[in-house]
Amino acid sequence: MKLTNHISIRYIGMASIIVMLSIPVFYMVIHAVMLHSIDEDMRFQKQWIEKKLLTTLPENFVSYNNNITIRPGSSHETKERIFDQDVFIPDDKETITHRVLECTSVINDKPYNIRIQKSLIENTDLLNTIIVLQVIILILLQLSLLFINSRLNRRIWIPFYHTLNELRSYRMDKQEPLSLKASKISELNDLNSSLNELTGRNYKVFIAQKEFTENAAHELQTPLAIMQSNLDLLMQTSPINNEQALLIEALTIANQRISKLNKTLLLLAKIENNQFTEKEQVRLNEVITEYISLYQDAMHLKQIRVSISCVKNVEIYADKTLVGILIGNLISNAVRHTPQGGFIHFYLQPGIFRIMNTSNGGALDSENLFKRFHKQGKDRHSVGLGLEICRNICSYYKYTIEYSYNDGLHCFKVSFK
Amino acid sequence: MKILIVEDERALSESIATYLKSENYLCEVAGNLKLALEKVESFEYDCILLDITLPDGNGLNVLKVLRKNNKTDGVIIISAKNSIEDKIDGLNLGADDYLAKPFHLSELSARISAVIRRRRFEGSSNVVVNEIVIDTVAKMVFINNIALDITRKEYDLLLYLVVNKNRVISKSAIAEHITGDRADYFDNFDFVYAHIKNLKKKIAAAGADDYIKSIYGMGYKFEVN
Repeated sequence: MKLTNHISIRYIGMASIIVMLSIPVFYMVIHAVMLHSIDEDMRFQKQWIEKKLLTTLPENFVSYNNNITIRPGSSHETKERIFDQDVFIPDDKETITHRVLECTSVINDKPYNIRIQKSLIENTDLLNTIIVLQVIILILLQLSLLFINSRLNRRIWIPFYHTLNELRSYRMDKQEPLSLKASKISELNDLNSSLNELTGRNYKVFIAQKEFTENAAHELQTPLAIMQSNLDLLMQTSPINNEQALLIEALTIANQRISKLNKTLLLLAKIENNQFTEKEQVRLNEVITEYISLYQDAMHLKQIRVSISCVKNVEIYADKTLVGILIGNLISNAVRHTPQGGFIHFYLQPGIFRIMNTSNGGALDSENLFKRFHKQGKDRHSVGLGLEICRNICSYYKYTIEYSYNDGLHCFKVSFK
Repeated sequence: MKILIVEDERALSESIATYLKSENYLCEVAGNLKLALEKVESFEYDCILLDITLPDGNGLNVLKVLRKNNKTDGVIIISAKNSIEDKIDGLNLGADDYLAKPFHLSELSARISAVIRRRRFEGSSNVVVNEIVIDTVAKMVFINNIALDITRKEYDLLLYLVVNKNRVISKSAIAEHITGDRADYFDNFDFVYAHIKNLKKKIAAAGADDYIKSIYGMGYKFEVN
């Protein structure tokens, strides 16, 4: 729900409640005021009648609609009461609520019963008028609110939506700052300046982190080279007993793994730094055939059956090295994870490369599959960066890479679109 | 054979020199660009191992000086950067090869030997060990003058062992050499063993001595007395 609507609904609700409550309150207050004035009026009339009765006979009293009646009373006790009463008016043929004052007065030693009545029909009219007026006020209030809101949406929210769009399209690795519009509203300006500050700060951290990865990997290369060459020299010394030989082998393999990891991290840093800008027409089937031949030995040892259905002349426009790494990593993963005597199927169509291989367990955890250092299974030789690199290369060229699992087959699909 | 090692990291240049000296190469070391330029201008080398990132400048300047002076010294760039631009720049400036750090000394030695063979104009591009003759142009192996029927990988393997003769070569160095650095062999060296076994069988069938020795735990050695 939009903020304006959120506020409007509450505002309209509150306004309605207040107006609704005000109708009975208005009515009761005005009603009380009117009754009070009618009562006063009738008392004055009573006093006037009492004064007149001193000199005239009650029979001489004539009033409109018999509103005043005077009858000789029986008791000498003076009393007065005021009440509402429904009275039938023969002329209008209807019953109308009246305010009635009845009293017993003793004038010239004669008791009289005096009754004064006044129609309250005006009160009903008043109530109706109040309700109509209030409803009109309610409608006016809400119309003006809607009007203000629509104008707000159009004018005042423009910079806000602009900021929102900018944020939506903002990518830390694209080196463009946010271009946020200035606004009359200070909150929006505050928001924009905070966002500028935040993205600026994050960008610096991002750059520093990127540089760190790259520099660290670079700096590691030389000590690794020293270690490697000295291990090679150590191997040439004699005598070396079997125990030492195994230690040297373990060191060589560990060193190999560090350098592989290091190279991979460098590669990732380079992809993330957009350092692959060279593009050329790459024939996919040639790349695939080339990498399959690289893994011929490994596939032969594992007795993996291979089927290749690749159409020729599928070309993409990209960096040849990166395409090679993408295809190579997928093939390497398939060879690594296919069990002894398994099956790998390569499938290439215009725009789509698919590689399917026999699974040695169930489906892979597709949620974490493409994450850095996420290893499937217990393979201690895997660096855990292969699919991360594939994902990076794909997002670099806006390709999509998907994983699915069907009938015991892992399937990785790259769409070059 | 004279080799110039242009490398600022002493530990590395020393171990390279130690390894190469035992192959009867004459090694000189230049720890910075200035010294390297001086040496390159005054002497001739069969092969120069060139680090690009030197404390006092870019190693590629050595290539420019060589070119300016019309020198034809072989050059192998050894760089920590492993960047394609450096590789292309270096090769365009006349470098013969590019080797990314870290590398196996046996691999470096094989590359140097290839560069020197290519630079030798007398046509003796053959590598000869007793009865085994490796023709590196035709990529063929002759044993007692009879061509040996071997695969491309077995040929690569044999040449690699021979140019590093009497040295222990680790299984991982062999694996990396025959698959290239693009392939991942999952730290499984079974295929190295398979290739060695086949190669030994073929050499034995051709009547040559059993030069290829397996060294417990570490790797293999082509042993010639």
